[in-house]
Amino acid sequence: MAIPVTNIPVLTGEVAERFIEQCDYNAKYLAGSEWQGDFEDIYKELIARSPILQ
Amino acid sequence: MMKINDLKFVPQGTPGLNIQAFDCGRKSVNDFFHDEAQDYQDELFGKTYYFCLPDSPSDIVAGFTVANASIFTKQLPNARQKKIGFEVHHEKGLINYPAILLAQLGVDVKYKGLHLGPQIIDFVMAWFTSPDNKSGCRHLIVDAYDEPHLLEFYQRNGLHLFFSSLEQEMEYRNWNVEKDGPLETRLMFRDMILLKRPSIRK
Repeated sequence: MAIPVTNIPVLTGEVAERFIEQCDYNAKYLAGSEWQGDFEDIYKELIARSPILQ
Repeated sequence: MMKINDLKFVPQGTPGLNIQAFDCGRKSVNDFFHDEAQDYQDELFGKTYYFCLPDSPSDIVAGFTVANASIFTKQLPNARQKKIGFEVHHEKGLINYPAILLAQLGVDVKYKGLHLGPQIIDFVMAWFTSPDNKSGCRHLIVDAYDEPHLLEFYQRNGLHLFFSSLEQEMEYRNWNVEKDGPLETRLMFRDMILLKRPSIRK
């Protein structure tokens, strides 16, 4: 059975430039700037109670 | 507001789930969860998870599907070469950013308006940026229906359009309206490095 999967096109030209520059900037200057410990706590609590680990 | 950590989080295939009763109000998404999610998972295309009522675990409140994805970039030969991040050099202008595709997301109509969608997006991002994640995952990708309220919803949750216009997106996606019909979705992303636990690396 073939199931369609979203294809992400290769980014080129100005779109690629802009994307890469933003990624680079984020990695250098903004990494972790929006981290919120409560998101992590919620995720851990849900996973711990979930059967996915059993 | 309903809190997702008051719900039970279970994978597709959990015995007793009443998937056929799930109704998010959009037929294509309902059809996926009702009829295709298990095949999608069996063929290792992606995995589906549900949030259920803790006291009535057969009742699905919301569901989502995630799949591995990549964002490939190719710069022209004369593009400025540079270091990416701290130490990863790219050669020949080719970079592959690992990503997670939020392939489906639906909240049952009975639970709309309870702020569950944003919490699920936060949950997925926390999950895939956590130290427990076994592989790298830089971006969250959504292929959102091109409807103003949905695009605004994802933008409020930190996602950005890859392409500045529908025309540009159709060109990149090699979309032929006569053959493929109208393009009904827009690709969006969020750089999850903003959300990772702050690094001790300096």
